[in-house]
Amino acid sequence: MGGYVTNFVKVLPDKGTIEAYRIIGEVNLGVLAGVINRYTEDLVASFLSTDYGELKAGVYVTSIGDYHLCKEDMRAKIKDALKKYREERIAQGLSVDESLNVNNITIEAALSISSTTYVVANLLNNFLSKVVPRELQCPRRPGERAAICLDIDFLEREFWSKKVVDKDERFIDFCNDYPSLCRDTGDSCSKFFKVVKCITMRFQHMVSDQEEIYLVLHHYYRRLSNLDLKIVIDYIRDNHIDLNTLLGVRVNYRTSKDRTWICKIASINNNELILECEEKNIRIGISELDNVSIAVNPTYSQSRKFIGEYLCKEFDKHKDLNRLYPSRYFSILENDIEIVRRIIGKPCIGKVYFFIDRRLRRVW
Amino acid sequence: MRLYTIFKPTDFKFRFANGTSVNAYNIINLEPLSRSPIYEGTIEGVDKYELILILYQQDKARLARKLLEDMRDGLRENKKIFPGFNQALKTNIEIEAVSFSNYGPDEIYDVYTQHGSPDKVFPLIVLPKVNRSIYDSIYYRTKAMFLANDIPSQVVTEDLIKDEARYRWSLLSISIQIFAKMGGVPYALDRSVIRAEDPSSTSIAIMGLGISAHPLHRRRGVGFVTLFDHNGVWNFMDSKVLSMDKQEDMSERIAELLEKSISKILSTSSKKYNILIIHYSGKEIGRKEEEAVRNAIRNAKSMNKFAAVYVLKIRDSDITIGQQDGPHKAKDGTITWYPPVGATFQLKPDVYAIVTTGYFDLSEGTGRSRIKANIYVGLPTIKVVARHREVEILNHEFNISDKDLLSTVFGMCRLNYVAISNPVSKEPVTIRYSREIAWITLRLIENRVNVSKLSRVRYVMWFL
Repeated sequence: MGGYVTNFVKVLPDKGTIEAYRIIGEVNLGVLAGVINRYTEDLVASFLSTDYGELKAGVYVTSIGDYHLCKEDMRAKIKDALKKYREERIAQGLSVDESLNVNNITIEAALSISSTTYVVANLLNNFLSKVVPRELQCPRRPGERAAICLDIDFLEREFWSKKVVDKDERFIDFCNDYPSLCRDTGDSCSKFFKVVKCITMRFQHMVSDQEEIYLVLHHYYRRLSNLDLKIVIDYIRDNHIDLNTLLGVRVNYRTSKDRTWICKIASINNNELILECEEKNIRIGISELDNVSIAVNPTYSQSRKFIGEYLCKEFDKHKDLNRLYPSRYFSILENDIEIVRRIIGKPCIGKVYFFIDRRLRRVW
Repeated sequence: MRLYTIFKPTDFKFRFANGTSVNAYNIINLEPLSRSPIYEGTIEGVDKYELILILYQQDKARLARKLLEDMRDGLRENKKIFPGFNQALKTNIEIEAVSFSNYGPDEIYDVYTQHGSPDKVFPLIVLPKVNRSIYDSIYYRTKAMFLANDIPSQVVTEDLIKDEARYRWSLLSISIQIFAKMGGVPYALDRSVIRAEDPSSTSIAIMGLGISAHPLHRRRGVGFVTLFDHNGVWNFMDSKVLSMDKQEDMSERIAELLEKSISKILSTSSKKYNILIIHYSGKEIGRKEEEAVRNAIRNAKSMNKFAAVYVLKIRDSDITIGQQDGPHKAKDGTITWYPPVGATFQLKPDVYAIVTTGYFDLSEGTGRSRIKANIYVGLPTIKVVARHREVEILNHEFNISDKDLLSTVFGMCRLNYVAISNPVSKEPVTIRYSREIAWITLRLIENRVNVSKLSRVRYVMWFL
């Protein structure tokens, strides 16, 4: 075919405009959009901080699905979302923005906006986190909008055995060579790690002769870790390994929803451990570990040394899977389009269906 | 999306003292561009140095001897690859080696100071290989120890000296880095990255602006600027510590950093029109940091003294591009689909994707095509470059197009003193060293060293 192949797949709306509402008001509109996305089931919102073309700044909200939502119903749903948000913040002991009240916002009359405009790409991105089944979602890395993690058994069961896509990935050989990194085999590698195929996706607004929306797909293989310190300590005790092997290991200590400390294990015995966290030492009883969130951080050298020596020698092997040429990558990515189509189906927001093309975009 | 342009490495030749070339290796024949900083007259540069002192751990005498002999006399098996430090760079500097007993920054520094004045002796330190992502490593601690005393240094790893294949091709790069750290300018671009309509009255400065967080204390960070001229000649750098959890404070301090840098740029320019092009890196920054940078650019009052200020945000991307009929093949004959380095695609007005790792052909136009790649395996690197018009300043109408602005990014990717066999780095030099600059700056501050008082290292590329 020639030319340049990209990891973009065209998204084709079945109508020229979508129905949406614009919300303005003396409230933190960024937070409002987040609350709508998180605490409603059938609404999706996007915050536009500055005017963009013909679109004025504000929060754009639309319904998920092929039905009309009147302004009163929308207001009721937002009111309910704000209530849930407020209750959750109070329950967590967090401050609440008192101005974030449905009486402080104005919902303008329903708008018809182009279904390929910038704000629609953002609405579709926020829709993704609602449509991807929770069990397939994986922790997002910086910059990723939506990521699905597929283990070897899921791929086999749902796609390869049903011949939905070709079975032509090195991942299969990899899992044959290192079964304990892919499946629950009961040994230490499978206790702490699982290598999965990760497909990331996001909608991208583009403008050439006309406005268009593309789905940007990317895949890589990654290692999911379960390095909860309590589990690690139990394992090394059960296997009669000296607890002092943990000295110097770096851990993530999550103290609240928004705060994670990176700490070093400075001392440990059967009863307690001392973490050195940003110039202060924190003493924690081993028996209290069930109630706190502390996990070994595998990016630091001391942690890696510990993991390689005592938990799983081959824990970095998945990196080999990502050493491939673009020619091979794109051949796998052609299959990924079908996988993604099956998982997210035909997104429908603001009474418009968005069909995902079957081909990667080529550029000449 | 459309193919916008393809920047070719051969269109960005290097300028040396006695001619130009597409290939940095030609420094051996054409001589370094300058032996002293072009923008800081008070710094004497390379000629003040009398000695390069190789410092090695006493058990590694064999490795040190090999390095010493090769630096002094050239690579034994092939002097064309590396003829020796003085022979390659036309200097007259003694090279000696001395041992220390243990790997410790204090001891290494003590041994160094026993062998002469820091003004005349350049330290070349042999250390074990460590992962550069380790903040507490001997590498960063030793570098910081010397910098705290206003002394740039060069580190060579023991593993590199043992690895014959890599070592022989690294000797010239090591020498060029030492030359740059001494205050010399090895080479620059032969063309201005932007073609100004009236070059005699216009000066163009390219600024790298970045923020890096402390690897262990996420609330602490560093904002930094690096400054180059329109040919990619190094000017100066500066940095400031930031509280990463306070957006307003961050913004204020970056604005202060910009004010200071602007005043320095303008004080040394005699041109009627001064243009500033800012490359800012979004590598480690989220929405809060980005907002802080934008506010800082808006709030820095002296920005208005420029005839024009352009702002480009450069970030990593998840975009992948392959060239299906591309000419590059792997060693086993596999067609890789790597795209050409410099291929630039427009995603929408003001937003572009530039390929910085892929294939290239430096012999283009000579009749004997030799396709090579600056990536061994894996996916090509695509940088997204967005022009931020909302913070631009245009006090005078210049005809600077998007293509001109993008060429500042590609041109700065050409400038690479660290791995000279690679004709295009995956990041422009303006923002490439954010981690080195940030981590060492943070370490110096932790050791209560006032970075702004380090007069010597501020004007050399100590972070290479």
